[in-house]
Amino acid sequence: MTWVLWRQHRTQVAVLGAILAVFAVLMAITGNQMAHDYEAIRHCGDCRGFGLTRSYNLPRTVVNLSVGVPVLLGVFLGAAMMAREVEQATNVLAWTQSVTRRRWLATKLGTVLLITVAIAGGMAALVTWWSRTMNSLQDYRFEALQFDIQNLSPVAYSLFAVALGFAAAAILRRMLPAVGVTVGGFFAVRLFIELSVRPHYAATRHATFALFAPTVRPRGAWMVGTKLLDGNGDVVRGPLRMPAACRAAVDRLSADQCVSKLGYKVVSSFHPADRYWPFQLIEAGIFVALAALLVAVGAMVVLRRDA
Amino acid sequence: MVIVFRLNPSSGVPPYLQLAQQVRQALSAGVLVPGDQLPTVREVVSQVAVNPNTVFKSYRELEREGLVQGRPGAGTFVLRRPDGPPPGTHARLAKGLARWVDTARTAGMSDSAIEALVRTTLDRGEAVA
Amino acid sequence: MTALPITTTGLGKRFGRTWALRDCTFEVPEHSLCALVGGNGAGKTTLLRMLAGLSRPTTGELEVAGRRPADDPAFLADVGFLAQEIPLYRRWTAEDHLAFGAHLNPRWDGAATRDRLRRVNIPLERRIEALSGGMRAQVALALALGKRPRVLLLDEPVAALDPLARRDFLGTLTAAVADEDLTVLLSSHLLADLERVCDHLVLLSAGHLHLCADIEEIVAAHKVLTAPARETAALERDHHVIHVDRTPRQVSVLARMGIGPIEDGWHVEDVGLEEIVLAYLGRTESREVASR
Repeated sequence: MTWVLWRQHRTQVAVLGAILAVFAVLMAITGNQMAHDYEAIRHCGDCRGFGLTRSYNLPRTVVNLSVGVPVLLGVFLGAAMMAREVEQATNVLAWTQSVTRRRWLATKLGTVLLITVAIAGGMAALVTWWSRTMNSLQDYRFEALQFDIQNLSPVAYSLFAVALGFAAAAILRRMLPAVGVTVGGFFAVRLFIELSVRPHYAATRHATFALFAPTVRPRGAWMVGTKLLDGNGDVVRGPLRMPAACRAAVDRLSADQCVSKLGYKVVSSFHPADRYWPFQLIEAGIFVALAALLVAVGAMVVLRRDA
Repeated sequence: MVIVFRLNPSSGVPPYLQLAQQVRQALSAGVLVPGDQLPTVREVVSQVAVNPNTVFKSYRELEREGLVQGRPGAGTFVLRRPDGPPPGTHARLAKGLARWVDTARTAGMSDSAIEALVRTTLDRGEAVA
Repeated sequence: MTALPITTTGLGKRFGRTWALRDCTFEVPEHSLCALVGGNGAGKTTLLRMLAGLSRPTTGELEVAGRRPADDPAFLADVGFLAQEIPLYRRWTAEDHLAFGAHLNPRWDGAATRDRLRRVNIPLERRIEALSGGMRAQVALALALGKRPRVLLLDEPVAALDPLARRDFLGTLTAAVADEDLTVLLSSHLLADLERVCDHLVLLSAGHLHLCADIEEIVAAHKVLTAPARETAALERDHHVIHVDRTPRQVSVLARMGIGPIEDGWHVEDVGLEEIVLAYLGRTESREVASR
């Protein structure tokens, strides 16, 4: 079966490999330049006459666009591949040779998932390495987009997307509906988990600030949200109206002091930086578990259904 | 393959008899001579797409007439020519007939009228004999 | 274990609430080239796919090449199937498919398969999508035969082919049966081809089996009886009447003859396979034909 799988997937692997290679070259060059420039800035002392001539907007945009890789892998390696087999009945051709459906499915799925991990893993490694300079500068890897494209997350998302594509194609048996379900389902689940579930992986910590004081973000933390509380500790919804007692204030400073005396404060919730890796593991675990579930469902459908 | 087999589906003659007749004609015309091997069943069905049993039946028919003999494991071989004129005479007669048919057609005789005339002549010949 | 290549007992398949095939019991003898005949929706594809192990029966028993169809290498090696769509990998070449067959089948005969393709002039390095329909059918057939199955099932393999491609395809198929220990069951609605190529016939109509017999026996056993308009009751009692055609002046009956006598006054004629099959297929309706 090895030869058959290679023959079926060789174009795909070649194309994906080429794209990854080009991406790697771009990352390597710009990543090194960035790190070099950063080192220079860090040690420039009085920095007069020091100008940064290179802009890193293009590679940065490309890196941020890698958030789309999982869903693309899901569509091409998951949905399209399985749906095309079914539509052209080549699965029937394979199942009437001397190899069992079970073995065919296991080796095929195994190959596809392996390619997924290789490509997604390769991209994730490159993106994470490239981002190390930005991570040092801005400590932003715990924030929404960066959390999604560095380290473990993109690999887990890709596995989920490919498993979803496979299951959709196995159940729906046609290309366009399968692709539609893959894309729609992927976005729905990702958004739901990112917005509604991820903040709750652990209880948030709180920091309190006076109303007009600058809010300090703890280094490397993920700011989940901020709330405005009035003097009684109730949440203020909507824009803050100047309280009656302070309307007579003459300038900004006395207004600040007046409002603070009334007890208004800002409370921000956040997850500290040391929770980054536990969160990565929890999120990856969720998506890998979902992937396993979808693979099981899809496999059951393929093996038990009439061909 | 030496003989070209053809099947006429609308002739009303069963396929196995048509094949046997074509072998007999080949023998009469000298295309096959005693000692030659008849085409294998496989060769015949590749050319004509009939059931292998049809070929078996047709060869058995020829075997019954004593024209061929099947040797197990080796094939079917020609024993003798069918009774009739030697190949040269056969060819000459065939040419003569072709010329006559041409003349008849030019004179305006239809093919079915020609067939009927041949049939009548043959019948008359038998009655006389 | 029975030596018959295909046997079924009470085989049935239901989709939702509809029975596509019901109470199907028949046997196919060894080394036969058996035709499977029936109208659209008669259940031919359903039957073939169950025999090939691609779908599971709802009721009944079946055995192909001595085994119950299962997702099992021993069964799969003995039973070949060619689906109606003639599935092949479009962007592969015929050579690729030969390698495919060699890698997936333990009992692969590469030399014979190449020989088959060479005899019908199939270019091995051209992509499947660039081959004609007839050539694709030959590649698919060679692939199915290459694993040296004991039973080969074909679902309307020649329906979409031109007469020349059909003849070549059937020629390859009959040659394979002549050469090897092979039994073939093929479905088709082209009766002229089937009568020449097949020696056995299974007839399905509306999901039920109506005939399973040797073709020569079928033709010998059925007759058309004609007479000036009269009652057919006596005939129906002694013989199995399949179809009755009536005009105000004449009646024509196609029947499978039993051992009883035939009344005086009936003119008896032989009848060809095509007419017999059509009579069985149209059996659910009797026709009243206007006076000619």
